Amino acid sequence: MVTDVLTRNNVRVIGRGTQPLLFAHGFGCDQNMWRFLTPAFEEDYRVILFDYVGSGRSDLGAFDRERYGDLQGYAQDVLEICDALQLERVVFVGHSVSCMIGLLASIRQPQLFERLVLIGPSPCYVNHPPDYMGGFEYSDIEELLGMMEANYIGWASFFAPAVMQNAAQPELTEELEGSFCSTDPKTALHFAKTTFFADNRGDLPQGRVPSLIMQCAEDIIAPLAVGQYVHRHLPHSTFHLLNATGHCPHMSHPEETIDVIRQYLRTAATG
Amino acid sequence: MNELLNTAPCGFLSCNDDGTILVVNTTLADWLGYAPEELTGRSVEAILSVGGRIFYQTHISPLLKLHGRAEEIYFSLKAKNGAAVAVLTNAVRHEHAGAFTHDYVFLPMSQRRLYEDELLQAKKIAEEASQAKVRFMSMISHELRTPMNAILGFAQLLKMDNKLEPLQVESIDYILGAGKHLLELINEVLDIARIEAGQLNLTLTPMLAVDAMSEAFEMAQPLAVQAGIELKMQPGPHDERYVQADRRRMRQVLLNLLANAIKYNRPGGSVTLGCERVIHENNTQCNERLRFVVSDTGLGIAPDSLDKIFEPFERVGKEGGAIEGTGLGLAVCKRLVEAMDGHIGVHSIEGEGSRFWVELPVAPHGDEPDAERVLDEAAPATGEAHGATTHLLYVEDNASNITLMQHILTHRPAVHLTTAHSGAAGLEMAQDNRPDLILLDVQLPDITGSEVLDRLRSDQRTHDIPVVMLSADATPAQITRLLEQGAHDYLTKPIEVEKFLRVLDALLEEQTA
Repeated sequence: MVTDVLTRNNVRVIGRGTQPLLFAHGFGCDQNMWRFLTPAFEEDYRVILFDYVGSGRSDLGAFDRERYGDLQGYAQDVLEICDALQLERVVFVGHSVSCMIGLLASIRQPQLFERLVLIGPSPCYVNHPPDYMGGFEYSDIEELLGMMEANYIGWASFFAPAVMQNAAQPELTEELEGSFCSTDPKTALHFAKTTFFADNRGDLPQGRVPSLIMQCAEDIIAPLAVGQYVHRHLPHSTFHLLNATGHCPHMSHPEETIDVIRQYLRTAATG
Repeated sequence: MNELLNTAPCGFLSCNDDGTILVVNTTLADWLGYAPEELTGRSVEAILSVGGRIFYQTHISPLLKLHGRAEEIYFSLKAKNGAAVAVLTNAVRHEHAGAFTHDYVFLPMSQRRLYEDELLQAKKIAEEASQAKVRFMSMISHELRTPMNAILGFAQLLKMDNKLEPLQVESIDYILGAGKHLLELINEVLDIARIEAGQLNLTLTPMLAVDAMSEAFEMAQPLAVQAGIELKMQPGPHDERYVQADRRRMRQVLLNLLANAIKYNRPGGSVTLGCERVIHENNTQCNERLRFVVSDTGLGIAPDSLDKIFEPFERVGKEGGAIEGTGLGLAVCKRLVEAMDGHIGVHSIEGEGSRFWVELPVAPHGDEPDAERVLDEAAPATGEAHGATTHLLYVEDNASNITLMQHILTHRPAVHLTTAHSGAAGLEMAQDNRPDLILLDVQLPDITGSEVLDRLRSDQRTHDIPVVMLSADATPAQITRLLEQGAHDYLTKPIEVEKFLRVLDALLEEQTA
């Protein structure tokens, strides 16, 4: 079971510290997205990386439409990884959709988590006027799905299966480096729908674990107003507005991202 | 150089890491209805639709930052008048004087996009049609198997009567033979449909080569004796090695090859089953496999027919012949073997015989799974009535199946049968009467057999009553699930009367022990 979970989610453990720092990637990518950040934490933490089922080098055979029909299925995977590695006092660092996945996991087992670091969180991407503006209309999401479908099915689908079946062959793995991180069209589209049609606003007030909200200055996917909404409704949250722009500060502005996370964890440790 | 860039028949755009446009050529600006200087200094998101921005932020931008390049990506740009402009893009990220820039080349693809949309639509329709076909096949196969249960069941019962005339026995044998053939055809059609729909569930585990051969060999032995063919198993140095296979499907494949080799042999001919090692080498590694070989001394197959024999309904040279065959067996074998990451092939010389082979990956040693649960088929049904009176509840909605069960149980007069025609009625009777054994059909009109089983197991009054599941739709996954759910055993329809009586006797024996 333990091996199954670790293989299913392609779990990788690095670092020389003891406290676990669990990095959870966002939609459209895999654990590689953390590569600019993790070296800064390896000395002091036990760094854990993984791929959600359907992303990176996870076990595609484990994909289950029903289980991953909402974010709870992904949250269950996070809890199972923690259980398989027997983690305690986990600091969860999530990007994009992983922020809500981490929150759901922490609501189910608050004792497991010490802190949540939420990079670009959004509890709901679709607008629900007049009370809530997530940033997108349904038609925008449909357009995204169309673009994904055209790319995955038109092109990536041709060689992705070969890569998946020959993961041990380095020359094919290199070829993967021109493609998206989620290479399976069906799971990628499913993940996109699960992500962008999710509405976890009602879960925010149930959060019990202290958290840091890292908000980019200009982020069309998780706009400032959404980050502020999360801060207002999520108990024990701290809000930090980054200078970084875009949706992936850990890739575009890793130094600033590292500094802010370090500062937060230091404060948490002393305070 | 600038003129070349501006008049090139492709769009070009360069931006910095934050997405601020540094350079845009005239071609791209023209497509979008802008003057180049209107775009310079703005964010690249100005020429993206909302959906395009999400795609850019979540896919293209990370890809460039992680790998430095992105290739052949379909993208939709937004023109100044709001119109969508379909393009195909290649992009690179490179460092120049300490700063990173992203260079994009765009090719127009509106026409190709329309064509691809049509293809995509056609693919979706084809996939839906394929799913519908599988649903249809699955339903038809169930509907066909239910009456087969009555035909084969009653025929077996008749044959158990000792007072029959030889001519009557012969007639029953014809009914049984034709019925079994029809059942085989139904099962193979269902297999093909499942495989083509990607719904074949395999459990790949290490399996001893000699076990794989022995299981099929023993099952084929009666066929060989009947046909007067000598069936041999050739011992070899690799018999004790493991292959990665689905046990049940491996048995099915080898049995099919052996049955063909027996059927299409010459009188007094022979069939040999053996195993050898093969090594495939490519540039990067040696790939070791075990090859199971079935050789016969039959008529052989003409070279121009060899490539057809693994296609459905191809019975090369045997069409309309006296030998029974569905024409689906080898097609099913090919698909099953490939699903187990193996290969199947044939070498044949007309007039001398054929050599069919199946290659499978070698599995690591030492982690042999528990032996599959196999009913003890060696012990014959005793035919003797059980000592004490026992109460059997049969939950089944089909009237002919109930009648068949009543007739079967005339061979066990000490068993008292009661029947329930729905899941709800079955639950109530089980709770009220606490039978010694429950036979439970999987497909019931009100609630599923699986749910009935759950409720029986969670109810204090019924949790310890043994339950044997009966169904015409026996997928391995379903069998495993129901056994895990607490079913004592699982029997498939059409019922093999002798086998059923053995299971019944064994269960009742256990209870009285």
